[in-house]
Amino acid sequence: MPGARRQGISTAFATRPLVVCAPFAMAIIRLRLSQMDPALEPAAWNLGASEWMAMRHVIVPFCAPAIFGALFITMAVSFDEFAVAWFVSGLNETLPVKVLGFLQGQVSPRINAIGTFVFILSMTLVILAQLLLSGNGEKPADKE
Amino acid sequence: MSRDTLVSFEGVVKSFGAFVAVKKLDFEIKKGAFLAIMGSSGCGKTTTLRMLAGLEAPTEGVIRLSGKPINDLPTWSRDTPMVWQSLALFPFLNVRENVEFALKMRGVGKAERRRRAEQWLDRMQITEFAERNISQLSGGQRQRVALARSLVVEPEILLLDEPLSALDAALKVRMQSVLKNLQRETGITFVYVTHSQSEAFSMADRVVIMSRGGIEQIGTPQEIYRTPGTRFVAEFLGSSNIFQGKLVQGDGGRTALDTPLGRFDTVASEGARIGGAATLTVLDTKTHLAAERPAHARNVLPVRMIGEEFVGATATIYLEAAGGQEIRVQKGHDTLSDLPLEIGRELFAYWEPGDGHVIAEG
Repeated sequence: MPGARRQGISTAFATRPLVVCAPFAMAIIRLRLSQMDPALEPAAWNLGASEWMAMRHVIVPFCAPAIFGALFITMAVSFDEFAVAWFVSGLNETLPVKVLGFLQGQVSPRINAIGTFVFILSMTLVILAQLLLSGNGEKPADKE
Repeated sequence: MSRDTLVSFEGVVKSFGAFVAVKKLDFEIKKGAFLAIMGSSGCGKTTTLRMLAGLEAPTEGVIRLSGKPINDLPTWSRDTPMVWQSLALFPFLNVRENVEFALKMRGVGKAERRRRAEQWLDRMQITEFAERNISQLSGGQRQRVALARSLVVEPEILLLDEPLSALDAALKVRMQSVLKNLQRETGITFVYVTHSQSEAFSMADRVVIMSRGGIEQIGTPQEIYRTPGTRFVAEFLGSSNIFQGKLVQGDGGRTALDTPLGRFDTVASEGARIGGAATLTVLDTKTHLAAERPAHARNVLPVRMIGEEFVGATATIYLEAAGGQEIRVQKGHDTLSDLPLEIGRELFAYWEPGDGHVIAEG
């Protein structure tokens, strides 16, 4: 969105989505981890993988669908979320904050256009996340 | 330690806090052996295997592999691959990638990796499934993938932790022969942990029986079956009739065992002394039945029939002696046809003194 972010990203602005979204990501990824056979990691060690290699070649690939799922969900949450953004944004207005500004001023057809765009984007992200998390035998990459 | 020893446990103890899982293990595994470690759950058999794999560190003692102490060697630096009870196949990799995993971790190049994986896929007859996902395989196929994945590094020793427990009976028997043949052909030392007597006895050439963290007996399956070393082993195997009593000098200087059920002639055994407490075990296949008191037999026990069970061509007759002690007799169908087998019927169990095995106690 042109003009949505006029200046550089402040610390508060960067921390905001982290604080708001981390619990969502955490919940999704931990759910996936709880489904993992506890023997999987020691099995990797037993086959010659050090702790880091097991993390890179077993834990992360196993959680990959959840990690990407969490990414899309948190993008949607972060993008749509208004209240916190409004308080911390200052001059760096996010799109929802900007939209509120429009509404308080005059009625503009731009709002409808933005609404459609936001709706499609959010739904796309949520559907993508759902597809990944329901994991229809999807094989995440561990290819070179 | 002799030259053909691959693994030796020297005074190995493992405790978890106050709980001692394994106490003072001392035993050796020879190169090329098929060793089964058998016991009921909680006897320390899996802990022993995990110590060998490097997944648990011994609290005391030394474990040696080819003469070198391996206590402080992390599991990824040992060549002790394990086949897990859950198989622990990587669900996000296909069959080929699972088999290649250990080679990849060892930094083997792509072409070489593929060539060596191919050999094992072929050997385990799973080449046609190479590109499939693990979730698309049957139980038996998964077993083969798990074996190929562990053996692809061509280790000296393979550890197996009850790998067949999830299979149905017919497949179990088939996999047993696959394992046995594989061991014989490759000469790799197999250490197989199980609670199943049939698995241990049908595959292993040496069996270790454990209970409460210690070793009860080590021997060939025949030795353990015919001459159980302790009362626990005899009860655990459940293939003998067991009598407890005191050894006495019987008629004509023969050794006999005084039990609450009477005096039974036996043959003297190692470590048994007159006046000491002892356990007599008689295999249920060596215990006979008669309708009338057999005149020629030296050890006769009046019993009452309480049940029977047929498995294939073998019948097991359940009987009760005085005091409610259960006696079992196992026979082929055809040898039982002239016996009046009715529930509640009074019969006579008898056996030859030489078929009894005396275990000295204390």
